[in-house]
Formats: sequence, structure tokens, C-alpha cells
Amino acid sequence: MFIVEALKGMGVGFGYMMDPVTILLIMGSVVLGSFVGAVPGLGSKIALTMIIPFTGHLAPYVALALYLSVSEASSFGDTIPAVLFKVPGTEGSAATAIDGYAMTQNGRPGFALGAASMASLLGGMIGICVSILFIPFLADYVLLFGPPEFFWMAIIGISIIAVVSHGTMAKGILSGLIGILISFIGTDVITGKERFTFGTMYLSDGINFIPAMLGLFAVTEMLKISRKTTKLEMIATVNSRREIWEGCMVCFKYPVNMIRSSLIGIIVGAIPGTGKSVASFLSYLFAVRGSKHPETFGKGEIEGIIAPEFANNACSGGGGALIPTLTLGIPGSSGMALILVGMTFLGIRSGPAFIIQHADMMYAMFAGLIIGMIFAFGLNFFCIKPIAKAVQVSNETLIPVVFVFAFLGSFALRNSLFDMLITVIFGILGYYMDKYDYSPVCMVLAMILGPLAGESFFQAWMIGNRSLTVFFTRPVSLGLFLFLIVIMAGPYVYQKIKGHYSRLTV
Amino acid sequence: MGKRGVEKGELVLLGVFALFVIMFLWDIRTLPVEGKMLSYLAAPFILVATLLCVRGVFAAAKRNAAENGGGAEADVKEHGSAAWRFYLTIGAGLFMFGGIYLIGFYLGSGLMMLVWFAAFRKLNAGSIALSIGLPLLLYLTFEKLLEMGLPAGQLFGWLGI
Repeated sequence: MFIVEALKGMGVGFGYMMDPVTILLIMGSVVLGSFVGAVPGLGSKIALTMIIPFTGHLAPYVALALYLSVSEASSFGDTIPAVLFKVPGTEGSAATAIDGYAMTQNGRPGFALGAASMASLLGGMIGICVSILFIPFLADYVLLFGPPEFFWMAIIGISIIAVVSHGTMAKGILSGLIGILISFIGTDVITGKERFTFGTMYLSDGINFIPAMLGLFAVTEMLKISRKTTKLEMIATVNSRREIWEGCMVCFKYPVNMIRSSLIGIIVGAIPGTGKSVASFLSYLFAVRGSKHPETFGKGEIEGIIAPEFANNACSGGGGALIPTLTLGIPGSSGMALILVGMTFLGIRSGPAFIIQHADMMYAMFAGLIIGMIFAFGLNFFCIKPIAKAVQVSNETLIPVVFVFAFLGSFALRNSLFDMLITVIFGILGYYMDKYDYSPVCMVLAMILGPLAGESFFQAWMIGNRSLTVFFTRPVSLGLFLFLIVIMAGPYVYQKIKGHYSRLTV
Repeated sequence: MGKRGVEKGELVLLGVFALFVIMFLWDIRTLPVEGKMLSYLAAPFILVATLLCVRGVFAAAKRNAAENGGGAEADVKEHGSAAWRFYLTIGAGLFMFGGIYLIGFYLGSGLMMLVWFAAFRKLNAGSIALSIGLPLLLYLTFEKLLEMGLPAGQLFGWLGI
């Protein structure tokens, strides 16, 4: 039943995507995603940050397909520096670098890259198939959600990113709460009064999250890399396309690894806040344990290359991480937090209602992503040399290009210099937040979910006759509240238990 | 290599956060309860998180001093006075915004810079000149641009009196 519906939906979705301009846009976004993903330190967040401001005039399904294609293409691109230089483009390819670079040292970089590209494609496809089948299944539960539940969903979304962010939980929560207050700047939709606007029209619409996002990610990242002077040296070059093709074909010799690693990627991705680095290392671990010759891992073992790539791509893009993002409005990873930013920018509210109200858009988005992934594979197959060159791009070239895109994107939004000022302010703020392990992702996400939390809170309060008990008396709402408590208390309880047992064993 | 002493920059960052929250809550005090309830609910959590982070800065400094071996107490005592940066950022920020309300943006920002230089750099002729000169430069640039009808002038037009 679900399969027939999904197939029909995908047919419609591909119909939407079969437009030359749309396909060209997807190709462009794949090129951008692959190159940005390949440059160490940039990754899908920067690629998405650069593309989102320019998608306002596109049809929403095209824009969504572009976001996912960029995100997925960066997962393809990040393998190249991992294999050629042992410098992962993003955290998702760190596990691939172990055996990928060893294989490059053995003189077979093309074979490693071919295997990694095909594994990325297959992992991504499996992830999409599961998402297509699983997401509509959740639609039946949509009616259980009302304003109190939406409020808790928004708070959980922010809290999860806060808990898993780099610094301490307090730093993540503080970043999120400050983000919520920033989202409240402007005219209050409930009372119609202005909050923290200094009486100026520039702030009466609030602080737009796009310039803030550009500052917090693009400007911050450029400020960070401007302080680094890493020069990457290539130890072996890819000379033969035949070698790449052989690498591609080798993936099919390991069907168990493919299914196991992809499932790990999907499951880990579906757990909000985990992300692809966990998925890739976990699948690597399982590959070592499941291998008949584990001693070869770390020395150029092909299973050590394909396992993380299956998991990495089954987790990101259209895979596991997209499931909580689309169905619950809770980002499955920090990259998905930016997909949420993009959806909000397009005026689409992610969450339970999205599946019912925008089913056609969802299928079109998946169709676009499949097209994008095939392009990304082709790009990795035919253009490894130029991408490898891009990895070696100097900061002197990279920084001005990203800055121009960032400020152009900021200005283009409303033709406002004030937005550029916002980008500068948030860029400086983001640099120091990043330096001291506060979470810029959490802040941006809170700026997105803050208005949803505010509106839902007010509506629930009114439904409950101006009483807060409504947040705890409805079953789903209470369940979400308890889930929030578990998320917040979980790390502390885990540490306590761990400490207790370690004392006992000493 | 571990971090050295107290991270003064982090204290300033936390001061900026605290300042923002204080001013935000002050600004919305006249709104009806519907418009400010969630902000007021969030405020205690922000306060607790900020204090935890401030405590974390000193705890990290103490830990690093201990790891570097010897002189841990002395090192922490030496840097313990760094806490004033946190309070000064809040105070200076309030001073600046008070200044803006009373005497306008350019003079207010000049006063803020003067306080900043007095606290973080040595107060000398150069810093005073910069504190007065930079707001003046801003004034001349943007007000002149405004008079000429260029859009850049609008940027700061709303901040001036």
C-alpha cells in the first residue's frame, strides 16, 4: 500500500523535476556542493549558507531539491581530500580517511575514490528509499499534534542541538536561549507591540535569520581559516579512469556491508542530533568486527572505505537525518538545522503537517535529490582532478570569494545595507562563540524555532484557559516533556553512572 | 597545549549575552503579559546558564593551571580578578545605550569606546583620539552621505538624533 503510494508520488515528483532549467540548477548546486565539501573546513553548512539566500524566487520544491543536492554533494566531495591528503573535507569522511589514505599510499587512489563514490551513491539511494517509505507512514500521527505539542517540539529541537554541540550543555543552552530572544526582536504578532526595536523601522520586522546565518557560518568560518596556513601536498595522482571504475564495481561484492552500514546510517541519522560522524565511525567499527581479516583495516582495506561512505550518505541528505527533520521539525543533524532554515526562508513549516499538506513537494524534492546524487557521482567520476585542485585552493582566493557570496546574499535578500551590518555583527559574534565552544548552529536554529515556540505557547495557553497545565495534561504533550527531561538529564545521569561504576572497578 | 589562565574574551562574550538579556527584559517590561511571558520564563534559564558558563571559565583556568604543574592557586588568584571584565562589559554596554538615549549615537559610542580603552588598553592620547575620532568619522561619513541622498546614509540615520 505504502509502496504503491510512494511509487505514484515519485512519478509525480520526477514529473516536476523534468524541466531543463531545474536540472541545470541541480547540476550547479551539485558542483558547488562537491567543491565546497571538498575544501577542508567548509562542508555542507557553508554550501547551504551560500545558496539559501538566492533561492527565494524559485519554486519551493526546486529550492528544496537544491538544498538537499548541495548537502548530499558535499558528502560526495568531502571524500576526495580524505583519500588523497588524509584531511577529511567534513567530519563525515574522517573514518574514510583511515583506509582511503592508506590505499593512496599503496598507489591506488583512483580505486579508493571510485569505491567511495559508488558507496556514497548506493548508501544515499538506500537512505532515500527508506525515507520515501517511512515518512508518509508517520502522516497518520499528525492529528495528535496541537499547539502544546508544537511548543515542546520546538524546545526539543533546540535542546537536542544544544546537548550535542561541541561545548558544555550550558553553553549550548545559553546559545539557544539567546537565539530565542533574538527571534523575539521586532513586532510581536500577538500583541502588535514592538520589542527591542529602539523605535526604528529596520528592527520592526525583526532580525532576519538569513543575514545572521551568513554571519554566523560564512563570515565566522572565513575568519577562522584566515588564521590557518595549511598547505596540502598530493602524494599520488589519479591517472586512470579504469581504476576508478574498478573501484566503483567493487562495492557490489560486499552486499552485507552495504545493507548493514546503510541501516546504521539511517538509524543513527534518525536519532536527532547525532550526525554522520557517529554513523560513519560506527559502521567502520562494525565492518572491522564483521570482517574475516580485521588486521588489514587501517592498511588500505576496501571495506574500511566503503562502510563509512555507505553510512555517511544513508545518514545525511535524503537519508535518516531527514526523517525527524521533515516529520517532527526536529533537525537530525546540524546540517539538517540549515535545511530547516531554508524551509523557513521559503515559508514552509516543517513538521507533521508538512507530510500531508506538501506531499507532492516532498516527492519532488526526493526526485530532485536522486537526480542530484547521480550528477554528484558523475562529477566525482569525471572531475576528480579539478576537485583535487580545488582542495588545494589558497586562503587568499577562497576568503574573498566566500565573503562576496555572503554579503551579496545578505544584501540581495531585501536590498538592505542593514542586513549586511547584521552579517558583520553576527560574523564577529560567531567567531568568538566558536572560539569558546558556544553553538552558532543552536543560535540560528533557535532564531527559526523561536517564533514557532512563541506562537504555540500563546495558543496553548489560551486553549488551556490561561493555564500552563495544558502543557502537561495532554498525553503526547506530557510524553514530549518527559522526552525533553530525558535529553537534558541523560548526559548527567550517564556520567554519574559511569563514574559510579569506574569507582567500583578501581 | 592547554588554555592559559582565565579566558578573558569568553567573559566579555558572556557579558555581551547578559547585557542583551537585561536590556531585552527591560525593554519589554511594558508589554502585556502575552507578549513577554515566554521571555520571562526563559530569563531564569539564561541566568543560570550564564552563571554556569562564568563558573566554567574559572574552573577551566584552575584545571589548566593545575595541569601545567605548580602555582595553581597563585595562577587562579592572579587571574581571578579577570571577572571584572564580565561585569564591565555589562556596565559599559548599559552606559553606552544610556548614552545613546541621552546624547545620541555618535557621542554615546565615543564614550563607550573610551570606557573600553580605559579598561582593556592603556588610556593614552592615541586611544582618546580614536575614541573621539572614529565616531566623528562615522558622523561625517554617514551624515554627509545622507545629505547627498546616498542609501548608505540611511544605515546610520536611524541611530542618530
